Amino acid sequence: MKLLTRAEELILWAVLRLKKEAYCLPIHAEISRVTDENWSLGSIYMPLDRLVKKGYLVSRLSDSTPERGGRRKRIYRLTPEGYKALKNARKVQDRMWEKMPGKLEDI
Amino acid sequence: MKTKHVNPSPPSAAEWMLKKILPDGVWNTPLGDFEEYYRALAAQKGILTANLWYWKQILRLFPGKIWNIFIWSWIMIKNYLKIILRTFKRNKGYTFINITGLSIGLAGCILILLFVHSELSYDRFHEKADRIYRVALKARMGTDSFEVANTPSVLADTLVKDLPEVIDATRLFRVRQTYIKYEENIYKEEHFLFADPDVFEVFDIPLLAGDAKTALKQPHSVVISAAAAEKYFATTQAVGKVLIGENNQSYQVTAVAEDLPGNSHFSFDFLASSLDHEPSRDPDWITNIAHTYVVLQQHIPPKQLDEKLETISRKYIGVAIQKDMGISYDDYLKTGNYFGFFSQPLLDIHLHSDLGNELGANGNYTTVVVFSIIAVLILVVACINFINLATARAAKRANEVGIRKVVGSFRRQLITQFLTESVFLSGISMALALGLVLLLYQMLNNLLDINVSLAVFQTIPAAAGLLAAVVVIGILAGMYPSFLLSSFRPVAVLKGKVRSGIKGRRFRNVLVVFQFFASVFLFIGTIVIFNQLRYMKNKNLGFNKEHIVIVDNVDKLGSHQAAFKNELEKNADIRNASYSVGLPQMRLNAQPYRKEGDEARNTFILVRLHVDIDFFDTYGLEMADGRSFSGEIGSDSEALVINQSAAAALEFSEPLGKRLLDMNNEESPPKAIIGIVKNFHIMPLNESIRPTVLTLMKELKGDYLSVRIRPGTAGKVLGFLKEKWAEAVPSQPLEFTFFDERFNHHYREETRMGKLSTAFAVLAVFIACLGLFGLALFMSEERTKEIGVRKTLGASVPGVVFLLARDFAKWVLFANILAWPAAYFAMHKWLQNFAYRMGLSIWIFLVSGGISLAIALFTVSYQAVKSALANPVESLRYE
Repeated sequence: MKLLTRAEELILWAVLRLKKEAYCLPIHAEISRVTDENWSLGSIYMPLDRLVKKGYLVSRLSDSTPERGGRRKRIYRLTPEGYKALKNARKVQDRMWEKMPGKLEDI
Repeated sequence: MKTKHVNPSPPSAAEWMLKKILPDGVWNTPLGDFEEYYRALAAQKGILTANLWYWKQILRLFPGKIWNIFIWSWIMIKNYLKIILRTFKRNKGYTFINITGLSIGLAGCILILLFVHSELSYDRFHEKADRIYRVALKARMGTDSFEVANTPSVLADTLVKDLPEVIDATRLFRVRQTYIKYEENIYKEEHFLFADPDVFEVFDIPLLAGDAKTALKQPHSVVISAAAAEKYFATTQAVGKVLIGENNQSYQVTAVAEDLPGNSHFSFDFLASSLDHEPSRDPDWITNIAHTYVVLQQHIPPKQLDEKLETISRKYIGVAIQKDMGISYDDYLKTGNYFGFFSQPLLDIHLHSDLGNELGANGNYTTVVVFSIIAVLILVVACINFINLATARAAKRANEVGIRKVVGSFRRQLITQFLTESVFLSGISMALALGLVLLLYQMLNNLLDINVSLAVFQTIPAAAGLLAAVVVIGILAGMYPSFLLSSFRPVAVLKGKVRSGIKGRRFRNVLVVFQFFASVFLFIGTIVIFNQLRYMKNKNLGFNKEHIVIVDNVDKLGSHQAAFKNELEKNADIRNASYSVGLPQMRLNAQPYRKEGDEARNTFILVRLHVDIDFFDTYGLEMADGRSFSGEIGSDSEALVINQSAAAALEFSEPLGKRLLDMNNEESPPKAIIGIVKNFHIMPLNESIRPTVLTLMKELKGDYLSVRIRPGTAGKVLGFLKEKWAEAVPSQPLEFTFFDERFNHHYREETRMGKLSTAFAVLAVFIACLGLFGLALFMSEERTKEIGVRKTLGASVPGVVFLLARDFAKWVLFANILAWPAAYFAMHKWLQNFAYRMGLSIWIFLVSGGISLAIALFTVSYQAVKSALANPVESLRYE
């Protein structure tokens, strides 16, 4: 299985975590919070698009709200493949950290 | 307090940009996301922060976007390049013609621009160049007026003292030529200047060795150029060495200067301290010998300096005039006369100043303008080739365009493709042109007697300029063809409906007309310039300029001038010999004279030449009235001969016997007029014959000796002269010139212009013919079938050739008719520069017309004959 990029992994994770409310802004907020970095709003559209193309996410348009100037949200939802890919990423992480020394000094 | 905005919305400009950056059709959702975030932020931290955030987000989108564009255009450009190379390969002939024409045109254009650049760059290397001014002198007396570059010696100090605007002033004094000795070697030096010690504060003269602050502070010190150091000492480590100058004056080398760049209005090999130059301490306000340069404070308008100079003139020259003429400066001005200082910006000296006594030969602004126009003409003629060939071949590519459109090309993409093609072509041509320039620039230097360097190419603006030129020329030349090509309707094209010959034919004809217009124009210009040159060189000067050898530096003979002349006269091959101060056709000084007993204000300015009794015979001058000087009559040393022009100006009813007073020398008694010589051209031919007075030298103290020799004996006589000279002046070699050579040298600028316009007229015609050849090639290909049918039906070969040639001949003739009046006006204006000029005869126009037509027909007929001779079976078979 092809590995996810870090941005893709973060986005999949955020979508999973946000459950029903997963559109661009909360995803951005979640990622920014967990990484402690100020992500550019524009920079998450590309990975989102890629994930949709790969079939890990599906999207639908919601109703429009006035605070968005009458424009509709695009709400994302994880597919089973997406979930599998995220788990896979987790697995890689876990394997990487197996039997690792706790501190740099222990080497 | 932050103002709470009820319903803030993002800046519309930012939103618009965001829309542009996002891919087509998907902007709705992201725009909503951005707006939502924006509103939240605005509510929390205020509109300003929100606005900043929005803009920052857009800025952060740019890098990705640009990268994206780049990748996609690169993919397209790769495809375009592939097509371009295929097209080139398939049409080697056209491509060759295109590239040759354009690269030759570009090379010519670059060469001219190099020249223009070097002319415009004069003296800019001085750091204070924009606030250095030269003070010069302007005078008008009666009908005569002159402007000279030199000024009184005392002026510089006075300016610094009297004018707060002047920070610094320095002087240069020119020595016409001198001899410098080091050990056994003696050389004649023509670039010897005396300079004030602070010359280095005004001008940037970088020193290789020595200290600029002290270099000229002491008497007997000299700064020499690197070239001179190499010449005398074979090394630039020359500080401390001692050179011997005139009168056994020794000079210690205190510094070695880098050779001044070629684009400096003065140059020197020796810069000696003015402390050694006696005239530099001359307190007189009427004697003009110093070249005075001033540095102004920052931001002083030049007009202010000129106004101050007027007060200086009034104050100091006024006193001198009061003393000499007994009238005040204001009264003097009221008589219509003028004598005063004015300033010239340093940067204007080379191109805009042509005063008397310049330090070096100056350029000519008109020449620069004319050359620039020629450069543009050549370039346009070359670009036209490209446009013509591309449009002519439009049909060949119609299929490609059709298919591309069917497959989904936008028109914009097609235009981009064809523009890329022409930019690519102009890039190749530029590369070739630069190669040509590299090969040819030395030749141009020799031809024009200039010193253009390629160093300018190493500067970033020049490189950027060349690059920009490639793009601009590519786009200009490719614009029309690409719009034409991309306009084809695929259905029509693929049905084979586009007849290429028809498309853009009128436009092509206009361009051919323009090409030949430019060529004929340059042709006529060239012929006129050469005719005028020949006219001036052959003009009857009123004296005989052939077979005269001029011996320079005869002042070195000292008191032996008479003896030397006697020696020469013993030689049977020498007809006459005559000493004079100055020579005809040199720029001679004019002196104020007045009639005896007349008021001081009625001054006449007469050109004056000091001669000896043989002058009239040597130059073959004819007397109109009276007699010339005689050796037998002692009183002749107090006599004058004037020319007819002076006789007319002085308005004597009976000039012979009347007396004139030399106003610069009022103690001496008035001199009587004993003869009137027929007018002869004492000054160069761009001036008319001025009132002239000839005086007899009391004792022989000439600076030139004119020797009239028997025709065909030049070699023998020169040997004899050298031998006699070596006996009389062993320390110096004989310096001689032939009068007619000196004479030709006066017309350097005109000769230069003639050569250059010839070169570029030929170039223009060549490029135009190249284009014509391409068009003819194309046309005959187009009409292969027509010619086949005609021949089958019995058309003769000459008939077919005539048919093909007629089309082009018509337009070349038309171009001629347009070019004639244009050239007439331009050349008529140019000829106004000369007091003596030839008429513009109709033959010049007819001949240029004939030549251009002949060349055009010759070019076309090669192709025409070839297709006319082709077997019709061949051309019709594939039908």
